[in-house]
Amino acid sequence: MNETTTPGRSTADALNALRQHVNSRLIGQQQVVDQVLVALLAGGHVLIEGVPGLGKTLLVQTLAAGIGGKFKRIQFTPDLMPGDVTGHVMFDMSQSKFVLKQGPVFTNLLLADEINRAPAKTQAALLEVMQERQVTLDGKSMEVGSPFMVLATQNPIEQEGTYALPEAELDRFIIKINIDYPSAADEVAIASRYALENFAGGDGSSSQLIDVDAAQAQCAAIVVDDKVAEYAVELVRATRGTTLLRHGAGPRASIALLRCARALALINGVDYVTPDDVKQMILPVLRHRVILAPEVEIDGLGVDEVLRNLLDKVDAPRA
Amino acid sequence: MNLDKIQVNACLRSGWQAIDLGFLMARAWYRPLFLAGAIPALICFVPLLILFLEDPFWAGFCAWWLKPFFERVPLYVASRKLFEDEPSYGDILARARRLFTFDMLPLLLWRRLSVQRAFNAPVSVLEELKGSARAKRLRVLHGKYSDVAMSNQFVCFCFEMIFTIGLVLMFLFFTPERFFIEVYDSYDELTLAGEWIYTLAALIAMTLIMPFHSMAGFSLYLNRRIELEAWDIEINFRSLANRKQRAGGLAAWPLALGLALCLGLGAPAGVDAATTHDRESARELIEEVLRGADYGQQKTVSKWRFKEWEDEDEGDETIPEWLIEFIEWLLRNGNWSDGAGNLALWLKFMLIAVFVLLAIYLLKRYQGPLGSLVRRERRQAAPEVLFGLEVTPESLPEDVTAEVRRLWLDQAYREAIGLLYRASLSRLIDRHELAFRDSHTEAECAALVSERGIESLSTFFDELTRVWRRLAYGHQLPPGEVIDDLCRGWQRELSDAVD
Repeated sequence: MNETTTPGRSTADALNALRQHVNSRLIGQQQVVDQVLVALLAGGHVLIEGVPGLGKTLLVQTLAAGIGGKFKRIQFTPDLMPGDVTGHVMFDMSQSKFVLKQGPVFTNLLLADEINRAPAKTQAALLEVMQERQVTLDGKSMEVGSPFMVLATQNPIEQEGTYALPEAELDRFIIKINIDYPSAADEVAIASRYALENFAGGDGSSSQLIDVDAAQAQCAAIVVDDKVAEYAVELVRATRGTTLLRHGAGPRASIALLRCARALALINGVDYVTPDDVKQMILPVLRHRVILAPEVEIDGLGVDEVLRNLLDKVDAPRA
Repeated sequence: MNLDKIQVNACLRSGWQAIDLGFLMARAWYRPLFLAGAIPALICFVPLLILFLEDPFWAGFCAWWLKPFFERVPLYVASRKLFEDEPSYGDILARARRLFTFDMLPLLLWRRLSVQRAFNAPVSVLEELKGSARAKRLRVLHGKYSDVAMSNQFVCFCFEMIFTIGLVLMFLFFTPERFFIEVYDSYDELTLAGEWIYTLAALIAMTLIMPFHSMAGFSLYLNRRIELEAWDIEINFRSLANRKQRAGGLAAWPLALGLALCLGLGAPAGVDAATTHDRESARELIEEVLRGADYGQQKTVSKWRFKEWEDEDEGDETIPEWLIEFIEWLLRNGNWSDGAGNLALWLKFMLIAVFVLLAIYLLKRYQGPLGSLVRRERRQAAPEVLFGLEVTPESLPEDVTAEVRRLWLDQAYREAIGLLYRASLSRLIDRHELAFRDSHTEAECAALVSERGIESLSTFFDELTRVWRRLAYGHQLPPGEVIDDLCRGWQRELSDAVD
């Protein structure tokens, strides 16, 4: 269906250009790219779960280049300290004074690789920055970059020696993306292309394709009808009254769902949210905010299957 | 052997009933039988285990090979207890040498792997026969129950295995983790500890099951002797004679025997003692009866009947005469040189033909009602209210497009587009049998319509959905000409005229 409502046409075009730019570098992960863009426009952070080698770093690098922002990466390890993330004050012998060393969080896009490998206090330091978007060092509060988005990754297969993120901290991520292997055809394209070209090597186009701050402001202006808001809340509430889930999602999930639906509408080039936008974002928004009931887990059902089951029980609105 | 003192009911039993009786005897006398087997076994196990300290498998194997040797004492004890005779330890010790040496070499060599060992054992142990006498005796005994005797051996072997595995597992389950014993090494071979555990468990299981195995074989042997030597009849005769004696009557034991013989040959049961005959007259009487018209004739009677049906049912449930004649005709005229296989093949083809004809008949017979049933069910499955909108054909106005245009002109824009959308859903459900669900969003409904592959319908519904969503969620009015286009599209794709 071609929606022709285009009040934010220029933004939609810019977003489309950015999407194409990232997709041209990260082959076969169109859905992941779309969801990352949604999180960027919604002003949230992303938790990415997938095995290593699927191009997560490339995604962030390319995206940073596309938005004209800075990119930094932290490899989380068990001995990583909070200061290694946020920064610290150190004495400079040459100047005979304390100088502030900003940590890698002072950037626009931060890739927190394997976040669950660091102990809880280091995780908490990052999660605090994600929430507050500022760091307090030596009594001074400093804002991190704008836009600011953390893309944290988790490896689903190696759980030995990891520190699982608590539910309250998981809630800080606006969406969780499951990144999977590309299709065979895409993998052939990746192999052919990157056998000759370095991953880190750019294609020469590092120009800013979109003003993210402006796009985020435009995103906030997208119309959400009351019926659509009610539908989003109904979907989230459906996770609470079921025996399939041990814990349902909280009100923060409803807010996140509507923010993501707005962002998706903007990407689709329309200035209002439809129930389809909400429905499309329900899995990424809710999958890390709910906990399966033990018996469901024993039965081998996944979170996505349970959520799809719940989706089918909530009536879609017809305003 | 005093049959009067026999501890079991000496009557004819089937082989399996005899095994049951043997197991019952083993349970009743388990302690003495177990000890009688376990003590010599233990005396043998200990030196074997010491001898094969580093390789307990061979100790277990030797003990298993000597098993017939251990089974002899329990059998002897049981044979004594059967006739109410409690053997003392002295008796057993006095008998032990004979028990452990008589015909032992063949038993531990070429007869060791006999699968009817328990059934044959009483011939060697109790009757003390060997060589040709033993073989002759076994030929008589094996006239029946040899298959049951083999099954007994197999069943007891299975029980031994189950006990062995159970004991090993129980030991491992009850072993604390800090003392955890590696039963298998990295090459999946038993470790020395594992070999010890398995060997000890196997030896325990062997001694536990041994009384049951021996007694089942002994019971089979008894049953065969009761059958061959008519112990049951003899015991009845004796009890009859005893009763007569106690009653103070003149009838002596031989007379009672003669009476019983007559009874056994079919004389009336209520015959009086005064009519009894002596041996000579009884024989004459028997011969006279045998010369009668009822004897000495041979007659072959054959009839058809269902297997395992009671006789009283036969009158009502006989096989129809035509079927018998038909099968007999097939047998006469068919080429049945290959035997029953051909007959079965014929019957199979006939049955298939009958089923096919029956299916064709039923389909033809009920085609109309079944078709209407399916249609009715489909119609019943169609919802009346969907997404909170009434979608039955009756709920729509006569002329949908006229009503839409009227509402639009009255500036009831939302109602106008809503009516067109609702009417479209109703027609899609009713005419195109689309299965919308309440949880479907507008785009999902449009996708379902698109799946039908009718391009013009899909294009119309996509456009309608777009306009509807823009109005409903974006609060944006479409231009008036769009409504005209949609009305024309509706008339083209979904109005009654399209039927």
